[in-house]
Amino acid sequence: MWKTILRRLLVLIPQVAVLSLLVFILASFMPGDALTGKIDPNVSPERLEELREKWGFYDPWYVKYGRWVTDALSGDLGESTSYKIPVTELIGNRAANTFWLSLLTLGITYIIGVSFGVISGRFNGKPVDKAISFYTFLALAMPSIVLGVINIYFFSLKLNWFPMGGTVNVGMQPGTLSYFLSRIHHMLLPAITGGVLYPVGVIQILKSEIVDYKISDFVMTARSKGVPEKTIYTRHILRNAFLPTAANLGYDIAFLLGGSIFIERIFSYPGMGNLFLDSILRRDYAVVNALIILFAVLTVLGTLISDIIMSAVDPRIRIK
Amino acid sequence: MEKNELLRIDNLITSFRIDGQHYAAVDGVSLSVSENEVFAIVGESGCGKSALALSVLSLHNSTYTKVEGNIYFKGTDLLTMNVDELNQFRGKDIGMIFQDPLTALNPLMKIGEQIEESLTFHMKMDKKQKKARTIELLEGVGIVSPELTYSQFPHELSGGMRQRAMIAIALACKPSLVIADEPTTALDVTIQAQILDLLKKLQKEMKSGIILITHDLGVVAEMADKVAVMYAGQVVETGAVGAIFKNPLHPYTRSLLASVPGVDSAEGNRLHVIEGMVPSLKNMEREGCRFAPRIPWVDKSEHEEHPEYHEVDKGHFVLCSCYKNFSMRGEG
Repeated sequence: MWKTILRRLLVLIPQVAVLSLLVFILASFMPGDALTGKIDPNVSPERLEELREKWGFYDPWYVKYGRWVTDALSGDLGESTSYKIPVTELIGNRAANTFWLSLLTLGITYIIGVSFGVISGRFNGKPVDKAISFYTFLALAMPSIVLGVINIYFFSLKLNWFPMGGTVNVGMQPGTLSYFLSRIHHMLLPAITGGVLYPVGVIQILKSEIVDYKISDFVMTARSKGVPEKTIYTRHILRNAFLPTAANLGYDIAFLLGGSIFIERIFSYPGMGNLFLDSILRRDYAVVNALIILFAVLTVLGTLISDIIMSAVDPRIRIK
Repeated sequence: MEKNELLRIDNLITSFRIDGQHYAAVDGVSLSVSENEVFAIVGESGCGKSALALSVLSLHNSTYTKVEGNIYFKGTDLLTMNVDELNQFRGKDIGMIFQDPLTALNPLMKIGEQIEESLTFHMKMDKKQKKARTIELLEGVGIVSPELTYSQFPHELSGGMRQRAMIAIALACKPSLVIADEPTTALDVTIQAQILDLLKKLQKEMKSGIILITHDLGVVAEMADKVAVMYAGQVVETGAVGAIFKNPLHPYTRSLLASVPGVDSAEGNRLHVIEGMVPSLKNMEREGCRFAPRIPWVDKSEHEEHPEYHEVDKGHFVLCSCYKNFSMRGEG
């Protein structure tokens, strides 16, 4: 098993290398650069040209790439042109914000997904299942930006239950209980917005698995043994039906740090998704490169974690 | 009622709902199984054998299936019971062996756990006793290293081993009746013989009754005491195995027997094939003799309008009068 894990991690190296190259080439096609948006009248166009020359913006992409790789190998991912701080520091701050928001979102997603999926599968075709199906269609059709705006309008603007954005109230002392509660308070509405939209997949997979297993041969065997219906569900149907959902959890771990661009944007939550979008708009290439590579690494780690979970819960699958 | 009658099925009708209408897959079957008796039910695919077997323990999905008639087990009607009452019988008094041991075992549970499960719900045993009994069962069904198999998962066993484990599950609580639904169909020929020998040996030891569902006439001749031949949901001929094999009367029984390839049949002889196919549930003609479309050379007047059972010998019944002057095509 350790061999497999090591092998997978080693494969990451060429993957990251190819990906970073692609990102650099693609970035060279993008119009504009980090200084395009600066229209400060106190800075003369000549000065901007001078800066472009000085920062190497006119170098061909392979020269830029070589420079970036040399720095990256020594742990320096560059400095953000818009925030004027090292990329690692910037991402570090944002990653923590996104992590907590995503964790809360995932929690809500799985609580809704698992409970609705089980109910839907068990009472397949009954009114309660139809109601859940209606909800999944609605959630699937609803873009998160739309629901986000609706939620802000009702719960923040009209009812004033939640703040409209940000992470914490102004003037709170970090480390105090009220600071902690304020952060949770700020996360709740974006988390709920995502948490009611994302469970669709979990519900549908779980439901179809349960419906299939209900009529499977080994469930028939269990019935022929005189096993009570409740035990048939817990021991035979659900244990098997949860396998794909458990495997899916690994991929969601990538989401923990990747965050949701749309929800973070709507709630002006300073997380990774928001940072990613901002960096592209400001042509802050150092940040964009670092983020894309981070997302790629997370995705590969997610699949690896999925495989590890599968081998832990399904005796038929063993990582060698 | 016979003295040691175990199970009596009276006019069983099992119908499936298709597009809002019910179609009977088992259509008025009556039969009786005694203690220490192997009762074979034989017929083509789709003739209602398995539907009959599953009806005994009400294992059909109740949403789509209607089961009418009476099934008396030691005098009590199983069909009037609710699930909780049935669960007292399932696994304890009546054990069930399924066709495909590959899918009939839970892939996530160890073999030992799956056998112990029936003990848990029917026997007052502690953990140690259960394990001891399970090991004993595994040994009894001819598994070489029961201790190892106890903690193995189904995918780690061969098909034959899995079917042995399945038999151990069915026999765990020493049921007085075992329903074996095509227990050897999914297995290799060599393994089939082993499993049949095992079943026979265990049946003799435990003196239990067996309902053996099969489409293999060889198995019937080998194992059974009595046999019922089913066609299109009905029993067309029933009697002692010796009588049926020596003196098959119903055209369907005769055609089936003629379709068995013999080792000693002359070279160049073509295998007998029954014309046509078993009608599907929806398109089945339910009036008159159901086998008539497959023996088109027999004159209509030979069949009865409402086929009845004729007792040709003691305990040997044949449905419809078309057997009387029947000759196979080509026999003249």
